[in-house]
Amino acid sequence: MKDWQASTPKSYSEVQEVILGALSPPGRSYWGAVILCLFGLLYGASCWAYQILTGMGVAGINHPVNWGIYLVNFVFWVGIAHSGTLISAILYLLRARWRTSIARAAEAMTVFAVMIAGLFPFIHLGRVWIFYWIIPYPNQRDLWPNFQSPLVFDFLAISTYLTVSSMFWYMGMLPDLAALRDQSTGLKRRIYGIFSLGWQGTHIQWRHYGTAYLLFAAFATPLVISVHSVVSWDFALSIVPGWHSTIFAPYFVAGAIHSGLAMVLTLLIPMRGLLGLQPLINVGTLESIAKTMVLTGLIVGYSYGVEYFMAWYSGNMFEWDTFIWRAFGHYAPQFWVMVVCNVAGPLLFLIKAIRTNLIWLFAVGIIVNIGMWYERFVIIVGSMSHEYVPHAWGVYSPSWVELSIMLGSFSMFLFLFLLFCKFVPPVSVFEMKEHLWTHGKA
Amino acid sequence: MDPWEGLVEGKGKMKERLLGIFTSLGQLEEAIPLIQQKGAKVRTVYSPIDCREILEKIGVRKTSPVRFATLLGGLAGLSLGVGFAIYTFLEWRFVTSGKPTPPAVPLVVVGFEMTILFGFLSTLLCMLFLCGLPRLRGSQGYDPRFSKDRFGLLLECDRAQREEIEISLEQAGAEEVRVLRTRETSQ
Amino acid sequence: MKLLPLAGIVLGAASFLLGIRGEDPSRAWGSYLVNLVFWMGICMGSVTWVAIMNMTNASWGRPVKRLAEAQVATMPFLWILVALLYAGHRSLYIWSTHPVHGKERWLEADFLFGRDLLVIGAMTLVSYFLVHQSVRADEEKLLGGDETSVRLRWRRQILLSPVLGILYGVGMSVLAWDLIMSLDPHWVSTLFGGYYFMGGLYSALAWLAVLSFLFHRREGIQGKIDGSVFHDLGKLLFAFCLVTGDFFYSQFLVIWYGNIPEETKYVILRVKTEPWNSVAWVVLAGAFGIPFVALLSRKLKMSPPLLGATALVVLGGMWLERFLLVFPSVGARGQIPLGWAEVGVAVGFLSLEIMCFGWFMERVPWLPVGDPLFEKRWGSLSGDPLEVSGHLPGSNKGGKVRG
Repeated sequence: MKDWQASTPKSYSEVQEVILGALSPPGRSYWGAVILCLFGLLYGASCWAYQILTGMGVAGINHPVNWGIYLVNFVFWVGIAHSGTLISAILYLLRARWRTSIARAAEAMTVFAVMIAGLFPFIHLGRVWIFYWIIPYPNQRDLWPNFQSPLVFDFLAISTYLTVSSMFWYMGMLPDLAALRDQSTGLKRRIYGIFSLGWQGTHIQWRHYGTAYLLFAAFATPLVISVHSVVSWDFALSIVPGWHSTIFAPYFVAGAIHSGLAMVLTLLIPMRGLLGLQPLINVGTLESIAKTMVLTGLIVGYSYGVEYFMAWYSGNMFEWDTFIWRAFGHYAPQFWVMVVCNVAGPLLFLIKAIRTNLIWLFAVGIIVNIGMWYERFVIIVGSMSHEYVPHAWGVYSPSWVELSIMLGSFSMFLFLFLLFCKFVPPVSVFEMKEHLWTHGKA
Repeated sequence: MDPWEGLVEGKGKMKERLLGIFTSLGQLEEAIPLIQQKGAKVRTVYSPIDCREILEKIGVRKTSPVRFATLLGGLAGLSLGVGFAIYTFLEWRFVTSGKPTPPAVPLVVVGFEMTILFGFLSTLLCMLFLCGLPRLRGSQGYDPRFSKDRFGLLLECDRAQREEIEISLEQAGAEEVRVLRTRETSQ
Repeated sequence: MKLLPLAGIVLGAASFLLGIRGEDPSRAWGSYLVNLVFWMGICMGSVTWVAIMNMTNASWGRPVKRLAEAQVATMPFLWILVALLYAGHRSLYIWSTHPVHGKERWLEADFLFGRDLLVIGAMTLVSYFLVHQSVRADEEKLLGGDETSVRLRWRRQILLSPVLGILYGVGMSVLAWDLIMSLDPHWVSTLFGGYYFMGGLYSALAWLAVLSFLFHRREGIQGKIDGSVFHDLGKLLFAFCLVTGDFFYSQFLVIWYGNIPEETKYVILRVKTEPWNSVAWVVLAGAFGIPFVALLSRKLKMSPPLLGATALVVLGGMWLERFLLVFPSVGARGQIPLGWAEVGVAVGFLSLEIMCFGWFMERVPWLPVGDPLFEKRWGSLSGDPLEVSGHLPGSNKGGKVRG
């Protein structure tokens, strides 16, 4: 049995010092990175403003590809969000110990990713100022959103997910914010005091908190599955060849977890190094993530295979043609990048030397992120450009506005995550202390 | 709020409040029966980690009634979500793709999401209420070290027994025993 | 006691043979197929559960490991039964008499049965090796054997587990497409394979819960299957109830929404037309509705008889579900083909499983003492090896089951 507690701190105060030590005043390089990300964010935002003022024509979207990389990014970011909740909620229910040191950061990743994902439907809307029409409210024309539409499911699911995951993340932090309050002075003390809501760690509070946390995790788990299923149904409930497929819900959920775990590796490996968290987030934990990625990669590979087989088996010439075109048509390079990165990449983790090497872990994480982005691209753009009627076939490529906004979204994500690392405990202090307590007992 | 703070049973006896500070939950756990034998009552236990295993020792149920809020919230969400969606379909019979209005199959998703949303929020609100959060005033027993690496046992006993209880606490391993401001009872 | 399962098998065989000699042989072959796919799901799924628990280092499930592994004994018989199914393929599968354009070579009896037997054979072999390593490790441990050898056997189990996991996923998908989906060769659902193997895992878990209830008080288990194990089984059963329900709904919603006639006719036949729609509602309640509500309760999950009863409801619901998948496509019927003959065949298959299970359990230790996860949590079991196992290790033939 692996003893991954080997290099952990030996006392509660040590645990607290290691974790809260990460929040020490940052150096110039940190602020440099934050400002760079802020610039990227502002650049993206200004491009969006340009798009609103000028019109959707500045994006590359047109007939027949009406859903371009805005939707690709939407699905991508929702997918990233999922493994955060997998790690913090599902692994909590499964009592997997390796989850503790990474749950906080993973959940932060979820919250930020959902926020960004939620922006993209707005960005994709031509007339952003009437976004509120999707909210069901009594109006003078007696109009209601169509609750049968997967786009309305999306609205409900994403807003529920944003609410639940941000509250789950925040509630998980209460005891740690109290710890920060107690060891700070002045303005910091006031601010952490407000956010910790006056938590004192009394037995009554732990009693209700403990039960509630389990219930939160129990709610977040089916929510994860349902949100990405709902997103997948945006496509599957149509009759577009390549989209209308019953496997989409589990396929997308597995793919989401796959890309999310890759993003966890991408974020956590630098984070643990830069914040000095190596004693807490050890290679064993990262190895567990890598092993899970082998599973999700295989599920994604299975899905690719089944889709191809069924496209042939069904005898439906449109379906079969779409799938042939995906592999050999205009977007063939993107398709092969997708297959190699998503399926072959994680198989490298079958080799122990690779899955315990930080550089390889980081590299494969990046590779899978790229592959999963291209998967969404191939599915969304690839299918729309090659539907039933040959005269309606067309090709899409993203414009500079779309790419700039995408750059802005990645900058925003990194910006928020950098802020998170320095203002909020990146690892759950009280849960790591609990590990010491249960390990110390006979 | 800490439901026991601010209220003191008045029977004409002088009550004292003692705070024992421990470095481990195990020691605190051992101290509880020792002081309970002497007739003292545990008011509050402060802990930086989840301390639910000692709850039974002080006569508090381990499971929380928060679960009922969850159930009620979930059911409310389900009925509100599905009910509202059906209402909108009956109000405006907008037929798309030849599907019935209202349609049963897609409403499963609507009901599911609303169940989770309302169930979660009601759990959250109930938990905050039962924990007494947000707590605006500090409590007299709290020491800032309790969020780091110390455990606190706040107990109440008769003035006459104070020395005995102090000795018991020290025997059990208390690092420090503090006497808090005592409360005089009214006649 | 031993003769009872044998009598059941004879009853089943007799019901079946009477059926195929009767006026509607496809009905008999239909019930044969229903039971076959149901039990394949349970047996392959049970050993796959062991593989999953090995891969996830699940120590809570160690006491029920042997009960799950026991299903490997039925697998060779399932292989034979699939081979025998060949004899009835003309009654069941329309593509055998009217080859489907475009799929002639794929849906061709020799190729189809060849690959299915290959797939089941592979799963059986890997399961056999996995269980063999597990049982030998326990026997060696009991006889005070070499620690290195015991540890090596655990490493082999760790290596075999993912192989079985992958084989299960792919293999059961192929079986689902070939044996069930091809009953209506024009209908396609990409999730069908996944739906079948998830349903198999769900049924296997329910079967394990029933077995745990029946055996938890026996001497050979030494009380290790306690309330917390039942609680965990119950939680997992609840999770898989949701997963199976979700997989069903994913297919249903997509097909309902697209409203494409090639896809909907399969579903409409089962859900909207007489006589199958009533079966569909019973399946929804039994496989999903009742277990969902029941398994919310903590008290129910921790109570062996109540959990066992809920698991029986699940098994009933899943059996009917397989029935609903198969029969509507096997000839036009006005009435639900569920009569004494069908009950007889079902009893026959159940008896086969019980017989193989009993044969296996008589020959193996009942607790996985050689499993490091078991040892870590419950320590080495000291005392008379006969107490720990159901028999003395090494005495295979005629060993009496104690307790």
